[in-house]
Amino acid sequence: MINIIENGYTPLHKKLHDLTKEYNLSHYASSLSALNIWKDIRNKKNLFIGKPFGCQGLFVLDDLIIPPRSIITDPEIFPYDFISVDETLGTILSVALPFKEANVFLTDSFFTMGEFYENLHYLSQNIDYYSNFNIYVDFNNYGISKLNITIDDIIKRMLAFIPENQDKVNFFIYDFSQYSIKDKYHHNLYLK
Amino acid sequence: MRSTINEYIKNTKYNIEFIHNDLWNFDSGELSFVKNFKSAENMIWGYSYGLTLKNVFPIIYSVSYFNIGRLEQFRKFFLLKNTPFLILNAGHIGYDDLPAAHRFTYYYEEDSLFKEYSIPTYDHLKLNTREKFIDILDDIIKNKKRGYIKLGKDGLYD
Repeated sequence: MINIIENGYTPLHKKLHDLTKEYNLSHYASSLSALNIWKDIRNKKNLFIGKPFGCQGLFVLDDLIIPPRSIITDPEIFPYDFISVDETLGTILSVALPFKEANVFLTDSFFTMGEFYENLHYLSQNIDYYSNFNIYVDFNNYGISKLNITIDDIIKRMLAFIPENQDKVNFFIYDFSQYSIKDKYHHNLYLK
Repeated sequence: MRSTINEYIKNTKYNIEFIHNDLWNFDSGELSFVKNFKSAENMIWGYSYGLTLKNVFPIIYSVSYFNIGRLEQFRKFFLLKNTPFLILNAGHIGYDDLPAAHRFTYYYEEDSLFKEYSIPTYDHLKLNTREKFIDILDDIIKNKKRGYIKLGKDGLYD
């Protein structure tokens, strides 16, 4: 199931809102800010956080700061099951595969990856490992603007993937755009 | 060796998962606890690493090419994080009578890689008894060590 969470009023939200009608997607309006949505997600069990390859900037949410081009290994600083950056989507998802119930939070503009469709295919092939698999997507406007692919294309690919795995995979799509500015700001600090 | 592995896995008391990523079926009949990983090699290391997070010991059965194919991911997940694993090289490397020359590059790369990280490698030509082979398997899995075993041609100790 694809769930679009409308948690703001950015141009991307408007686009997503239109798509929910066009493709008959589940749609939830939320009064929660991106920060509060993140706080909810981070309390979930078996949480895997991925910042896929190609996402250059820092990802900043509350106390979570994921620098680019590194792998975070200190469990005291990052008390999550797994955090990885600069991996393919398939790699990030595969780490969660052995867990029968997994929550995967993909930060930044993960759809910038060219292999998105390919990795969904691999996931689909191994889906028998799952009983419940939630993928939370930070679908921000900044990343989308750099894509050669349209949001419509992405939704179509998701829909093509979903039917066989209807009961096992749920996408939750958010727009965390408001953090993009903060993201770039911190990225500049990091570079200094 | 494959029948020995089969027997070992059937009777083990340890929490292991055997990940089959070879192009061919296991040669010695039915193998217990096998997960046939129907995917590209770039997911093997991630999946195996995920098992270690669950405190499950991963045994990766694959030919040389697939083992080394995604070296950077292998480094991140296993070498840098110091997690346990056992790789069983399913290839027939090491037999002069087999047309495996195209794999020799990977063979030598793997040897140097494991040497660099002080990971023990075991050659089928030197594991000359079933008991010795089982002792090594047991030591690696029981003590959550890391190891790499070249199985070579099927039929040894069978």
